[in-house]
Amino acid sequence: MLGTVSRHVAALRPGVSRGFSTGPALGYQARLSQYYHNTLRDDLMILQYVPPQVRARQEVMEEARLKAIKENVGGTPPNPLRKRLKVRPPKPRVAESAAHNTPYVDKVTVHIRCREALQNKHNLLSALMTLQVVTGQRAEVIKAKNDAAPWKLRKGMPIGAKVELTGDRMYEFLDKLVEVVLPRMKEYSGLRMDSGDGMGSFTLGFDNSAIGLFPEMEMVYDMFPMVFGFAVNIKTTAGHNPAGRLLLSGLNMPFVHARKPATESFML
Amino acid sequence: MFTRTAALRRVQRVAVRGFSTSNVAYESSVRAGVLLQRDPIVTQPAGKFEEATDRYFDWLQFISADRFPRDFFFKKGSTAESKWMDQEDIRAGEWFFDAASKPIVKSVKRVIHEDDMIEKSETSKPIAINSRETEADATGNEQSLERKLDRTLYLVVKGAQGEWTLPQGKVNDEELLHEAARRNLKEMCGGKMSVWMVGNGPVGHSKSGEASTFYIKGHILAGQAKANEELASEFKWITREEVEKTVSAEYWLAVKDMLSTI
Repeated sequence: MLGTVSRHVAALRPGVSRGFSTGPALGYQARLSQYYHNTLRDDLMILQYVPPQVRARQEVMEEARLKAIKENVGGTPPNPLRKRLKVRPPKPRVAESAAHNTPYVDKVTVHIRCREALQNKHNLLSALMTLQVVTGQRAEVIKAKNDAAPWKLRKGMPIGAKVELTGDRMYEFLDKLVEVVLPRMKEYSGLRMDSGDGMGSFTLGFDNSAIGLFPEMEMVYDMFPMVFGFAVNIKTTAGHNPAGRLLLSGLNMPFVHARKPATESFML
Repeated sequence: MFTRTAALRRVQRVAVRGFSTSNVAYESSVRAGVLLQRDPIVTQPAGKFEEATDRYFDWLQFISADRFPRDFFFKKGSTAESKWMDQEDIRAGEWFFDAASKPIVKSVKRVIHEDDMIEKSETSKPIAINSRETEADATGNEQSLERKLDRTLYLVVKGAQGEWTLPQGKVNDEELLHEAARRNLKEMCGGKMSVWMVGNGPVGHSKSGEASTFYIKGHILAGQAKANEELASEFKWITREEVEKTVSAEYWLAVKDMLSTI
């Protein structure tokens, strides 16, 4: 068996008839994955390091803050008409940054919510094919979990499509998104600085003009009867938003401040 | 006269003098250096095992893949469809990982030559891939930043005594460590490098006599080093193994844990 392999492999490489392979370029490991493991991870560990004295000081300040809230230090007497102020629950202590727990990108989910599927479920086919073309992976159908009478939705109706990417496919998709698609988008400067759910997930939403910017869609765009907007959810192992943003910014994701700059608001 | 407050005041004054920063012994005890690295430019090459694994998984993917929805992408009976079917015949004949699982090819339209494989379309030229070995590799020019594209290169400089070390220098009064590191790098190796320093804290240290040098990591993004004749006679961009051969044994023990093996 091995004899036959060597004879043919010497003459042909898989994927030669197309001039490309469906696996990552060079076959071995996605470029972004190599970049993360060989270069970025070390930098993240260094940037997130908090020296023990600073960490101790932070804890002391946090305790003092909570104590001050509890005892209402320096505050005016509480207004009986106003509801009692909620004390935020103490933030769970984020594990100290070390080589074994630097944040990484765990999973990327691309999904399309297809309202047109309510009238005719064959409209979902475009959504499924779009995701398959763009991610290189077979898409799953999302079925409704609850009824919603205003939209004539019943439980179990196919209502969307999603793809969950992990490993090399995930890195390649992220690479494409950040290097090719986002720069081509009009009026997109970056992810907002107040984005993130606090548990390491970041979501980007795109409208239907963005799907045509993917390199794979250039050749087959006309074949799709319907184009959809989609959402990309990036799940990281970061414990809080700043760490997640640091990781994404290391993967070349642009960020912009949430608020408009002061000069704009003063322009006449 | 000798009240308790007056005595305290005298003690305080003595204490203040004791922590004065003009003490000469403090000046040279802390030094700041830079671990400047050029990151890998090309991806890591796959070893024989990785290549074999990849070929196997490519084959698995091929035989277990969903049927290509030909009727979705091509109109039945169109020329595009027949062109695609021709290509599929050729493609199906490529997978010889397991001779028993070779799919039955409908008809071999033409003899397979490697030159014919990549279709040359009228509008686009085939992409020419650069070589992974550059001329700096061929000549062994250790000053070039284009040598060993798949490895991390570190900047080492030859000091006044002829010893090879990472760029470093003194920390002045009223100066922070990362500011001193940047300044020392600029003085020793010229200001024509675009450098991004990773944070403000050190990643390692080395001792020489009384002095401790703390190194802050940086990446060179653009430009090239230029040795300042007074401080450094030469510079080199070298990989971890080459650093081990170049620096002294004692210095290697101090810095080796900062250097990447890739």
